[in-house]
Order: sequence, then structure tokens, then C-alpha cells
Amino acid sequence: MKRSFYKLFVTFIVIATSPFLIRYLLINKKIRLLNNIYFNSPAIITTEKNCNNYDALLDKTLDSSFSVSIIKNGSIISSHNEDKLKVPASNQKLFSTAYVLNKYKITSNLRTNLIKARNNDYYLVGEGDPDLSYSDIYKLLSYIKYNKNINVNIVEINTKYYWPKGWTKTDKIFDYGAPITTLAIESNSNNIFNLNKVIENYLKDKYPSSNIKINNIDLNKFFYLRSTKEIYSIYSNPIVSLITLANSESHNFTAESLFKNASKTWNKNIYDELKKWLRIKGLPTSKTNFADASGLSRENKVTTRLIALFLDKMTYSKDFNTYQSSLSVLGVRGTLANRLKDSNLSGKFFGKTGTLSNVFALSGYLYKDKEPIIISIIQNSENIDKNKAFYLLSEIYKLEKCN
Amino acid sequence: MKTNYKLPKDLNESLKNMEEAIIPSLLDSNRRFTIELKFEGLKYNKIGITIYKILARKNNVFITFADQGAAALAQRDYPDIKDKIFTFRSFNESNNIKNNDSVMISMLPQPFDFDSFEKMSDNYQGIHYSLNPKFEDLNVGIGSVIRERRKTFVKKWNNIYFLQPINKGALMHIFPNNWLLFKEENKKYFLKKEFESKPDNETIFVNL
Repeated sequence: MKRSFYKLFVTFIVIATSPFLIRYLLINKKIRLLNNIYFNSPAIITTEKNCNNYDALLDKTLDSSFSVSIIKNGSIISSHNEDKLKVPASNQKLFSTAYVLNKYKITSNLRTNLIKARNNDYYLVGEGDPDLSYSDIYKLLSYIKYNKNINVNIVEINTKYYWPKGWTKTDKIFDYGAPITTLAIESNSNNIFNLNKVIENYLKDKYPSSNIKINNIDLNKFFYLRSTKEIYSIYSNPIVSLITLANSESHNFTAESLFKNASKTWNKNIYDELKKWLRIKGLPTSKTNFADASGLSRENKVTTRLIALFLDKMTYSKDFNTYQSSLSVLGVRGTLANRLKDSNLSGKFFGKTGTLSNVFALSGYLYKDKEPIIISIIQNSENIDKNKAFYLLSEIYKLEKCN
Repeated sequence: MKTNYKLPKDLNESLKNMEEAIIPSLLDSNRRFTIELKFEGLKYNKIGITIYKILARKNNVFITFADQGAAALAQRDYPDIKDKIFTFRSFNESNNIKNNDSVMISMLPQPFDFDSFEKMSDNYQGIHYSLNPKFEDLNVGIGSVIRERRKTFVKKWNNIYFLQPINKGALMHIFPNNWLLFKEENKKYFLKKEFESKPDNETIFVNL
């Protein structure tokens, strides 16, 4: 009787305390397996906590054009307009690069292939390697053997998918708004229309007596013919390099290309997959809009609450160290290299900037102690004040414990 | 070596001065050196590669970065030497850590990276250069034991090249020469004073 009472008592205690125990283990990141389960689950353990000193700082510093969320030790300790939808600019890459990291091994590569179908029929198929160069194309073409008739089929996406929705005409003129295609020479930073001529000239030079035909095939209509053979492949830099390029240097083409490969959406400009991925992680995505992977689209709408909760959840991912190392570091590298260089904060904020006309965003991990303070700041306004975001960062660093 | 009493007129000249300091440092009995270029707009990876090229003429050279992202990006930018690029941690775990005849350049180690950097540096017996290191962080609430350990570690490092514009002047050091303090008047710089070691802020203030 006594023994069964004890059993019952212990069972009751375990059941009653297990949510607290699990939360304790998670917040302190004690068990790797548990962290991973939490990262992939739809649960969110983040709580709300009142910190008057942080609230006072935000109230004193910010106007209504700002949204801010701050998370420390698993609690949202302060916020300002955090549920207001905002254009995040390149802070969008925080989501899309994490998605990519989740789908690939960090050592994986994007490939550009030369495929041979019949004797003289070749196909050039790419995956949007941002570093693909003309010399890579020549290398691939060098594997084409002499034949009286040589057909080279360039497989590329339909022009209607070149740019995501919400990229302006002005954006499209510049390198940072270059079209997102599968066979992009130097990320299409110069001219995307030269490839046919370049291939034709190369082959005519090499085989002057051959009859050379260059065709364009829509990726949507392309399917691998039977008895095809992969002749040669060019491998991109590993995914870890490309994700760092996308985040640290804020390279739009790379962010878009990586996402299209990871989500298999080269034949459509739909980013629902990204929103869905966040939703199934229990993150607050209702009313948000995902229009691209790089953040250049003005149609992206997210909240700082979503960004901060997401960055917090990423700390439980098995890929967190890689993810964090892909970000800019205040005063040290990337787009934050020249900010607050000789300050106390130098080297201690790993983050992502976002800049568009009327938008500035700054989100990331601020290290004062072992565990980071997660901060997301977005200003959408005709009077952007970048210095205010950095001032806020410095002031948060100076604040003592929550009170 | 004859003392160079002129400030460099551009980055190229500054890098030449840095090379003049690196060559004799290879023969020095000390094996831990810092190189510090403290002005705006620098592309540090390019400077790191310049140092690499100077050293690689006669040495087996490695470049180490704080984390995976920084190393991965450098490997992308400099594919010819990607096998020579490591993180502090991965270099420490590789066999190269025992390569005492090699030379290493560490890029921008920060207080945040101190633990992995210190471990690697302590295990490495080759000649070790650090570009713009920031070892000490007096504002972080670390205990006195760790603070002392860091101070001891910092003392092992000798500067061989330093250039920084300061308020109304500039400070320059080209090993093995003295430290030179320049004063700015009417946008021209004049040598104000030489020092055997790096002058502190107060000394600089008094002399300018």
C-alpha cells in the first residue's frame, strides 16, 4: 500500500514538473537531441517577461515607424510595435538561408552539367551557381566531340520567372537585381543574353567544318531523354560558402538561387514553401507575406516578433554554429564591418542588415554573456535613421539585468 | 634597418612598409607577431592575402579564421589556396598544428573567439602572425583569473607593423624601428617623437 502510494506520488511529481524540466533543459540547451526535437517541432517555449528598463529604453528612443523585439534566455523581454507588418529588406535572407541549410549538407554543391543524349545532341543544364564563369562554360564545351552536326541545347527557365514579384524596374537594371537563372555567368551581373553566341563562337572556332546549332529549351519542358549520359559537371563552391555569401555579403542572386534549388521552384516564383516551413515550426506567420528569398521585393511583409522568435528557434538547430558564422559581424566583417568598429560591441553582434529605400532592418545575436540577446529592429519610413538602430544596439548592450 | 620617417601616402605604400617589417621578423627570436592597420575602408581579407603572398615566397603558410563562415567565404574568394585556409578550431584539430616549420596568419581574432584562438596558438610552435587582433575586452565581466591569463597571453605578442590615424596626428611602427608619433598641422604630418615601445593614450595626448 505504502509502496504504491510512493509510486503514484513520484509519477505525479514527474508529470507535474516535466513541462518545467523540459523547458529548463531546453533553455539551457542541455540535451542535443532534445534541442533538435524542439527545433523541428511546432512548439514555442518562449514566454513574455516585463523588463521596465528595456521598455523605457525603447519608448524613449523609438517612434512608430520602428518595430523591435528582444529575446533573452527564452523570454521576450521587451518589444515595440512587434506585431506590425513590415518590409524586412534583406532580413528576409535570415529565413531563406536557414531553410537552405536545413535542406542541404554544408558540403553539398550546385552543379552545372553537360549531358549527351544522342551522338551529337548535347544539353547544358545548370542550378544557378553564382560563381559560374565563361571559363567554366568553355571547360564543359571542351568535352563536346567532333561531329558533322552538333546540337547544343541550353536549358533555361522561362523569362517570366526571371524576377520575383515586387522587384522594381530600377532594381532590375542593377547587378543587385540581376535575373535569377540556372545558367548565370557571374550571377548575371553583366549580360544574360550572350551565352548562345559565346557557345556558338567557341564551337565554330573549334570545329569550323561542323554544322552547329544552338537551341534554347524551357526548363519546364525539359526532361531527361532515355540513354542520356552526363559528360562533365562543374561544381559550385560548397553550400556553406554560398550561404555565407548570401548572408554576410547580402548577395541577392545567391539567396534566390539557393532557395529555388532547395525548394525545387525554378519553374515558379512561389515562396509559400518558406512560410509553410516557418509555420510548422510553430512560428507566427499569419498575415505575413513571402514574395522572394533575398528581401528585394517590397511585397515581403513580416514582423520583428517573427524574426526574433525564429532567430531564437535557430539556436536549437544542429546547424546553428554554421548559421551564425554565415552572418556579418559588427565591426569585423560583411555588411556590418564598418559599423561601431572600435566600440565595446565590435565582434559581439552577429547579424544581418536590410536596406531598401524607406527600409532599414537589423537583426541578430548580441553576445554580452554566453547566451545571446536576440534583437530584431525594422524601420519602415521616409526618414530612415540607421544610426538609431545602432544606437539602440549599444544601449541594449549597456543595460544591466532586466528590472 | 634605416628608419622610415615618412607616413605612407597610400595603401600600397603602407603595404610595402608592412613587407619591410615582415621580412626581418622571420629571423627574430620571438614567434608571435601582430600587424595592425587601423583605418577605415580596408578589405582585411585582401590584406591577409598580401601577407600570405609575402610569406609564401619562402615558407609553408596557413591562414586561419575565427569561424566556418569566414573561412568558407575566403576559400571561395581564393580557390588557389583553399587548402591553406582553416578555422582556428579546425587548424588546431589538423595535423598542421604540429608543423613547426610553417607560418600562420590569423585573421581578426576577437574576444568572442579567444578560447579557440588561445588553444590553437598555444599548440602551434610555428611563426604566428595576427592581423588586427583584439584579445582583451575589459568591459566583459570575466573573472580576475581569466583576465590575468589573457594578460599573460597578450604579452607573448609583439607588434611589427602599426598604422593608425589619430586626432591631430598618426602613429606608426615598422619593425625593428621605433614607434613614431606624427603631428598634423595644416593637413601635413610632421614627426613629433620616437618611442621604443607603443606610447599610451596619455603620452600621445601630451605630445600632440
